[in-house]
Amino acid sequence: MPAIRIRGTKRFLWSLAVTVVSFLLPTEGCGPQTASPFRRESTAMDTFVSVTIFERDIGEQNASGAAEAVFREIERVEAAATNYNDSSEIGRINLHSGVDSVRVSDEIAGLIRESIRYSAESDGAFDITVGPLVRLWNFLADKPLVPSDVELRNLLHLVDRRLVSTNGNMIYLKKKGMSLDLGAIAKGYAVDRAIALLRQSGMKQVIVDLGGNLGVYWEGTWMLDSTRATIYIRHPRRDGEMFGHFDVGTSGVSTSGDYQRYFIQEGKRYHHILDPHTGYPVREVVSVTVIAANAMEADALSTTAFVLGLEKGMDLIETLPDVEGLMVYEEGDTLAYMVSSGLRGKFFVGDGE
Amino acid sequence: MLKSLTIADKLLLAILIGGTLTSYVLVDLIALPGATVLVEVDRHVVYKAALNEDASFRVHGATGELVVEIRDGRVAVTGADCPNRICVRTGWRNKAGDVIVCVPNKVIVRIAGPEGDEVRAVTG
Repeated sequence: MPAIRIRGTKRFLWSLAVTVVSFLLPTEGCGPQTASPFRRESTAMDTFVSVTIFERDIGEQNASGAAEAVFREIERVEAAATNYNDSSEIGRINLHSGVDSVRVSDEIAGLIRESIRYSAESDGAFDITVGPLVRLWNFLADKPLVPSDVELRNLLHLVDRRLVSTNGNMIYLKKKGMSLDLGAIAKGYAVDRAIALLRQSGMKQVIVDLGGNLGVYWEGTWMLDSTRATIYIRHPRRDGEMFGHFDVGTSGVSTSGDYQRYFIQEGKRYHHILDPHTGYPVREVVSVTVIAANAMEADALSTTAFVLGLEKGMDLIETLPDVEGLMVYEEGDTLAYMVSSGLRGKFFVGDGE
Repeated sequence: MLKSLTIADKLLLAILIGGTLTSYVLVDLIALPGATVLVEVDRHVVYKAALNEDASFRVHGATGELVVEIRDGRVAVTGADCPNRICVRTGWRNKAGDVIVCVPNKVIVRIAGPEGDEVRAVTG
């Protein structure tokens, strides 16, 4: 190839371009307006929540207002979906179990219908009627204890999605003592609501984190060299360390792990992800991370795949369109992992530093 | 294209690139000591302290008290009367962007400072 000679005006423009680009490179990292993304944190739904806005021209006040609106929205979802309060929508359904149907909002009725769909599709691996079991285990207690086998088995007849009747917005639990627990789907849903709010107010690059349930909204622009966000998975056994990382664009990411809420009794780990069929924690895998189109789907599917176990769980992830996943399991004394086909070659072990 | 550049052009380029790399390093060196520890209760900042000055203080949270300590450029919640004490178990933190959370007390201890350009989040 012959060398191209650039002369005259063109030559000058090239020199100018090189100079300008050289000056742009360092300022990208140190100008006052580019120092850090905007971030606000709070607590809600028994965990911590953060809103990060990466756009640099949004202005402190706009960003702050948007974050406040997100916190209020998550608190609103919590108030409707919590089962710790008898006057919440879910609380009222539970209070009237076996007695009466209860009229709920479109939002809660929709969430319950979605939950029953996940339940039916997973043959009950995912089940929002686990309320009585969750209450008995009480992982949020000061010093939780393993309940007696008899106590547990006596509750299993109350755990069955087919005992939930939905007629429009009228919800009825057919047996007294039943209770709904949206703990495996409501956080993801709240994250999706938060992302929707931020999009409505014109934000184009945001991450919402509700206790590890992530919502990423990312409209790429040529100004940022990374048009995707890097997601780190916490190490299930080493505090403060990362197990690995991968990149995502707009999506929802969620992890269910045996290390998130647990206690050790007589050398055995008891964690909060219960098998609705037995009432005991599922022991096959250590953690499941799911990447899906939205955070609610990721939230529900990470729990579902965890309960289904390594083989069936990964099968489920592979059959669903636009869903990828990673499962960590114990192999002797070490941790091994398996990724879905779409994540092959895109997941990297370690913290990348 | 490189062939069309004179020695002066190349020298200019070298200086610019060298300056760029140097400034990248310098930015980190200058920025790091400026990190600040912010303590929020229910989203209101109640304490602001430099990460490079040892300190210890009590924070009144929504349901109880916590003790926050800053030592050797790191921060930790070293005492709390909440049930799970997840905040205490989080241990010492020292990077900008690190957060220690006590959910029952609605307390967030955050290291504010330049976090760099990486777009990141943590799941799990």
